[in-house]
Amino acid sequence: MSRLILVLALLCLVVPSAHAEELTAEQRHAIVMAYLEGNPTGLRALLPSGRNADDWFPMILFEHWWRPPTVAEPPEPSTLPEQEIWPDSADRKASALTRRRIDWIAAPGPKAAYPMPQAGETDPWPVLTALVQDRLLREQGGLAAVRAADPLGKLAERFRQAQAAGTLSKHREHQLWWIDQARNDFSYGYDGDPLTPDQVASKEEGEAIARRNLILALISLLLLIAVPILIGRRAAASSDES
Amino acid sequence: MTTAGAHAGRLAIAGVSGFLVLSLEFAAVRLFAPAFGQSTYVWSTVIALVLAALAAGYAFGGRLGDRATSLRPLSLAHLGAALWTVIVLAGGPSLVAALVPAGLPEAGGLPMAFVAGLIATLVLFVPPAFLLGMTSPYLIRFDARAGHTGEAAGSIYAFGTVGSLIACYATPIILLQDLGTSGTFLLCAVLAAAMGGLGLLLSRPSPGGSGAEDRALSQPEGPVLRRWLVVALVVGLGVTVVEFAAVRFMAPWFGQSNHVWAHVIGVLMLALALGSWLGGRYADRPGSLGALWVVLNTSAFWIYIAAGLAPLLLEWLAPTTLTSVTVLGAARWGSLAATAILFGVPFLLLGMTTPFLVRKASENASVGKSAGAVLAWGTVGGIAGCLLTPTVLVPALGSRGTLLIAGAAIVAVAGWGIHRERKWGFDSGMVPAAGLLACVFAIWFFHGTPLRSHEGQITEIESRYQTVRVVERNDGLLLPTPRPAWGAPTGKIPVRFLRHDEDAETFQSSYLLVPTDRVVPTLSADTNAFVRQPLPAAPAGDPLTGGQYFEHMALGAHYVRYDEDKPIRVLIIGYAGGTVHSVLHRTKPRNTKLDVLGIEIDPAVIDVADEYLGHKALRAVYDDEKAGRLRLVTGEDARTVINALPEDDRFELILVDAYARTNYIPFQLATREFFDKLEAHLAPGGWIGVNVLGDGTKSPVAKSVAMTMTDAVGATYIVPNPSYPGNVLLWTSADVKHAPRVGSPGLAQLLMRRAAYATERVLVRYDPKAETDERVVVLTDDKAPSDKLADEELGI
Repeated sequence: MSRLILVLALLCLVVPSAHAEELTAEQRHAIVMAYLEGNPTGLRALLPSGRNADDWFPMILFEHWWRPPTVAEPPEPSTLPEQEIWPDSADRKASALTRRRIDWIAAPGPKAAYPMPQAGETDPWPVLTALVQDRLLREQGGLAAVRAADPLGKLAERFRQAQAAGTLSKHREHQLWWIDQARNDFSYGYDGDPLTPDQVASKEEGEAIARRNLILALISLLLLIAVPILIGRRAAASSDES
Repeated sequence: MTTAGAHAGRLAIAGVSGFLVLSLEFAAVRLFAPAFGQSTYVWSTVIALVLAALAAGYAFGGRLGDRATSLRPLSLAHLGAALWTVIVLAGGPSLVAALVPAGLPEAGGLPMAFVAGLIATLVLFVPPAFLLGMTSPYLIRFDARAGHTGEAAGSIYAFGTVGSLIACYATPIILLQDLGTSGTFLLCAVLAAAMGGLGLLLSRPSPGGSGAEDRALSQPEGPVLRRWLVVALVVGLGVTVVEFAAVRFMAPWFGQSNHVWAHVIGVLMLALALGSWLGGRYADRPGSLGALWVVLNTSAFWIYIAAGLAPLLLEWLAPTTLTSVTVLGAARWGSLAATAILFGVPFLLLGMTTPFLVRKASENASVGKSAGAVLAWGTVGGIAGCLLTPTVLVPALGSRGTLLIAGAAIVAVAGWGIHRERKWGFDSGMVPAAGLLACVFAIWFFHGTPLRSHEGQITEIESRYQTVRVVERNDGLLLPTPRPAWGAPTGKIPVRFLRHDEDAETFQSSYLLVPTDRVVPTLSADTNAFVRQPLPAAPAGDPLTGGQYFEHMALGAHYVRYDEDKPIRVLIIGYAGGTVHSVLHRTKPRNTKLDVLGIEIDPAVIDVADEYLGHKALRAVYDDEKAGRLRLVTGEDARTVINALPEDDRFELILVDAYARTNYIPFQLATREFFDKLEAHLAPGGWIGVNVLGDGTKSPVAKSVAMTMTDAVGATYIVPNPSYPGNVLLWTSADVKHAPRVGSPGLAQLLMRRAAYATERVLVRYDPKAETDERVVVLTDDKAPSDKLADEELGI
């Protein structure tokens, strides 16, 4: 962990070297989608060199917190993924918010609240922020905490308001679908997908057969009990007569 | 007390005694399970020794009854049984704990818990069983009036059987679940003491009476003729063999849930009780012997018919069109109807034989001695039946062959009796010969015919524990799930499954049959769209199952802290066909090796998987066995093996995937004490994962196990499986202070992304303090109502 802190701290201390090109909306959307799909290969392929730390942040978050290495002994420094995370050609400029978040990732022990934008700051990755908050609540507080705070729900609500106002982009609509899916997956009181017609038919068939079997069982038991008793009583009567 | 009142009192004592014997037997197995497991060896040891003690008690009780003038000696025996049960309650757990076997079993050696179970049963349960066994013959002697011995035997035996019937429902389904093991022992002790008190009350002289009614019964003093004992032996054997085989015979349709077992045993006991009562009405008539042989032959004939034609009825009661869940309701009542129709009549007829035999035997010997001897020899037959049926007969002959053999034995003894009578005007020696010939023909005729056939079924075997079917389906697995990230195209992949008992759609092991056209939809990084492209080369079939729970369990290898220089040590409890092991190999972190200890109670499952699912070939490819990195312990209950593991045997990953009778987690593998033991074998940075199939995150079983894991180990996380509704995995770690996190390396497989998604997006920490379901409790070795919760969840 100490080596991770060192690496991440180095990333933050580097002086900006060049002006980086802004990511396009298409690129940002693709990055968010790759993150949502848990696709590190796609995520890496979508992050071109020459971007600043704010743009590289999804990759850093993914590799060092979302899916941290689990090898007990870290690899030798020469094989560290520094170059993968931070190519030589990359602009290493990081905003204050991104720096705080990198510090948060690097901090050992239980995680405090995820750093949020302060006055005058803009969150470059609001969907990822909601995902991180949601995951933290799931892991630390449980279902009740997620339901109470519901960061993904609040984000979805914002998207829906924009949708109603006609200002939601197609990209955001895709992301909204994903957010709703994640919220549906069993943890917000979702009971699973509704039964298909085949499943409904099978359930009804099972119930009908169970009812029929119950009636048959009762008749069978009645006969099994009544016939010997009748025979036994008749035997006793004939015995008394004789 | 009036004569009628005393008679009613004696019947009540017989009933309570029958209840106590069976309750103590169930509670004994429950007490032993955390130490010795619940393998067939443990069950057989307990049942056989208890039956042997009962047989000795019958013989002794009969002789004691002949000499006694009141119920006082029997009452003292019952008070002794009560006292011993209190001793079991107080000292039993300590004795059992002291007998826990150490060290893993050696090949070819005795089963691990065999000797320990033997000693514990001898010390703890043989004495009360012996004392309670005295009851029936003693009471028969006291109830018998001149010329009505058979009637007395029938009544007493019938009430004793009704008591056992109540116990077979009440003890496993209610008492052990709600009162726990110690509570059940306490109740048994109280009932035994109350029974002793009632006996003492009945022993008091009543005003105007002697207190020893009908003591003037004249009794012959000769020995009990051997022929009646042989018949009792064969009938006892037949009853037990048919009882065990009937459950297994119907299991492919109804499964082996608690309710199915209770229905089968309950109906059989009801029929035996009615038969005893009815037999008592006829036994005292002159010329009843001919009726006895007719009764035996008719019962055997009915068993033959049931063995041959039953599948038609069973298929109608639980058709293959039903799913694994919807079949349960049909199975619950279907098993009751089927048992009554198929086996009610033969058991009624077999039940009639006891009073006949007591009556006949008492023509030459005293009543008590005769009753004791007949019951004892019948019980000896029962011991042979309970030892042979699950371990030898069913695995060797199948349940249908076992039923036929039981019928043949009954025909043989009936034919022998007819032959001895020599009064029916034909060569009666041909009767047993014809019966045996019919049996041989029937076994030959049905040989190799499966009990039940499913679409695509390749084979079916009956093991000691269950019916296992290999089924191949072209649409066996849908790849991938219909979710946009993975799912625009849907591929149907041919798959082989292992299915068990009534399983219609779920399975324990699977094997994708994709040798040449191994293509699945894969996300293209360039276009962010789905394309079809080949999977990476995989040896002899791909073990990935398309997002079923196997991948979710195998993902644990990405949670654990591991050292690249050492193999990741994995303990798999419930190895089954080895699917989890194969998936682990396919998906483990890059540059790692595995060192696996697998535990599987049913060796036949591994054999079938090796032969039909290619798992042996997969294991050979992965070279585990050659490198000594796979240890398989089969035929043993996992709890016994865990108890015996050396202290320094540690694992980074412990996976618990153990189910019994299709739908139940064995309680001894879900308790606080069990997880304490697992924690002791967890390496630093290791994780314990438990698979629970039920009602998803709402499942009281899953939440009870989660609460237990939290109590025993620490924070527990529930990971629902979005593509397999109802299934959840529970994860906990002793020293990792955060939720499980998927490590990056080696998780390239598309199909594993679904498992990772579940961990990262739908995992929740279980919070016991926020639990509102009152049924959810910490499970302990003493009280673990997991079966009851499972039944409620399944709606049965």
